[in-house]
Amino acid sequence: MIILGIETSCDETSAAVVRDGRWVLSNVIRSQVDLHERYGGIVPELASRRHVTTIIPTIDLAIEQAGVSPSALDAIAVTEGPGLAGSLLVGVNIAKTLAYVWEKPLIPVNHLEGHIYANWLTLPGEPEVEPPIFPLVCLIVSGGHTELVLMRDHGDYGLLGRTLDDAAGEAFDKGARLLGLGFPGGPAIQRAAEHGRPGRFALPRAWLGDSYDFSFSGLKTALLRLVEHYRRPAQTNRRSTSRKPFPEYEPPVYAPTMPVADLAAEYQEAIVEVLVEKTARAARDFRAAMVLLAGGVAANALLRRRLQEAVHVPVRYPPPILCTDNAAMIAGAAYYLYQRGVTAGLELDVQAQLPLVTRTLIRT
Amino acid sequence: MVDVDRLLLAIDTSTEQAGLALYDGAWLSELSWSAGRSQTASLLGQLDHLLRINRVTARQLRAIAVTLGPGSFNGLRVGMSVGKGLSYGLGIPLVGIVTLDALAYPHTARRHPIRAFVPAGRGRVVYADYHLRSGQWVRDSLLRTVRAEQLADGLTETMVFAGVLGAELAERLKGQPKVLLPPPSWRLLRPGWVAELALQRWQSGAVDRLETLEPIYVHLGTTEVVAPVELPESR
Ligand SMILES: [Zn+2]
Repeated sequence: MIILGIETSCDETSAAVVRDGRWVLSNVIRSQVDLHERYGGIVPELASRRHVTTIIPTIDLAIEQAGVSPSALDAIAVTEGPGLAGSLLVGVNIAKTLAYVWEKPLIPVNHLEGHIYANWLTLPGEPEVEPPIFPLVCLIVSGGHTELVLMRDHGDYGLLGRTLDDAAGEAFDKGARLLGLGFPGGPAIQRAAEHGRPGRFALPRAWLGDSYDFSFSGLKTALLRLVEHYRRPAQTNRRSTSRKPFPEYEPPVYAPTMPVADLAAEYQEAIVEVLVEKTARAARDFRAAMVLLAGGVAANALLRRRLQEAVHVPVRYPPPILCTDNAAMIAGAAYYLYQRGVTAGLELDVQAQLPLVTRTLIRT
Repeated sequence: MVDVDRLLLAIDTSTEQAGLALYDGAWLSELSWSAGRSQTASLLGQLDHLLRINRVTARQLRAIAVTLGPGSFNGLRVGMSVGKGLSYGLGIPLVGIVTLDALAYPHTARRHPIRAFVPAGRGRVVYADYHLRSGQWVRDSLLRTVRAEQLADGLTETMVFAGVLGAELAERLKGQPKVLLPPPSWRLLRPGWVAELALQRWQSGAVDRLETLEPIYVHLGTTEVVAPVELPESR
């Protein structure tokens, strides 16, 4: 079964063709990082605008690279949520229209489910990836989400815990902005932390008792208090922004003595430590056969290493290109949804706040 | 009979009143409904309905038209996405039409200057002016935002007002000098007008590119510059 996937939930425009939920035939991702960099974070309105112009060339290239014709497609899959409403609607409307004129089934996919199913995918020319084994525990960590999920079978999810405030990726972004390191924050902090020493400054870890939930906003506030000592008044080059609908980011100015590397190292350590501890405990508590990582933050090297040290079952994570938001994971998850009879009609709408467990069995 | 060699579909989701039209240069079928903010949920179902009641299939369409705005940002993106999907999926051309042009178009026959406007949220409207210059209708290149109740302030010439207004404001404008206010049915954006302008553009060889065409986004309190355009007269 050959599925065209479309993903526009945040700031990547992506289209992909995947066979049988496992074999990636093409996976085109148009990143918008260049667009959002100067704002120090994603500007939702600008993200939606970029999707409108890039979506058709992206889909066209995905179909061409897969070497299939539209008539060879068996279904069209699209992210219905969660995500930015203005961005989601571009993909959902294009997908519905193509399904309508090409007379193909339309499969609505939860973005988080897509992230999990990135672990089933084999990239072109790469050795075959063995399907993960149930029951498994999956940590989905990205700029938009932090969820700890127990999965007993295809479509059988239990939400063990989630972030109560900022997502892990968001915490990295905010930390990087405070440290003046740029956007996106995850890679920026990881790079800065390479030459730093964690523990020189103490940042808090929010354990929240023995729940599996996360909280990162206190960490960000604590970092703010630390860097405040080094702050210098900004040489304001602020032009009148009153007419500008989207104000640009002006990095803070700090004394050269600020130990950026040590602060970044401790900040990264604080985020990773909580993620690893809770994931490892869930894996023990639910006798998981495997632990999966998914989402953009799964590319963090410290997180991968620590998690592998902390659990005694195999830890799996997708290659970097499948960790970021991409359409191959949507087309992949769609295959398993379709096996269970999940399709949508022309009335499909976007669901900005869609939780993970909707079209699926809930058994926590 | 439908002329299937020139069958064009026009889509308008600039405002909460959405519209669709099928047009072949002579025959016209229109659908207009209150979509609110859920254009995504209703647009394709209504399109399917319009095609069915006219016994036409999507594969018989030869061109697609879509309104470019100004209007609601998300609303415009819905129409633009469906328009692009149809154009790409069926391999047929796409033509963008400025929403205000379609509103002004039916009034060109009256030979008075025209002020066309759409709601811009928070009690504001976006408007543009149209003048007859040397026998040719021309739109100003400036799209301006103003509070709806200030729409007729400082008029120096008599103008036709084209666009949807609240009952109270419409009543107030009607009494003002230099304001010509057509009845509501002539001020609501009819999808047929979009189709007519688009068919003329398409037949003259003007087609837009899927990788560059995007809505016109006018922010409150700002003025947006768009290329001036010559408008055909509706006679
Ligand atoms: Zn994501």
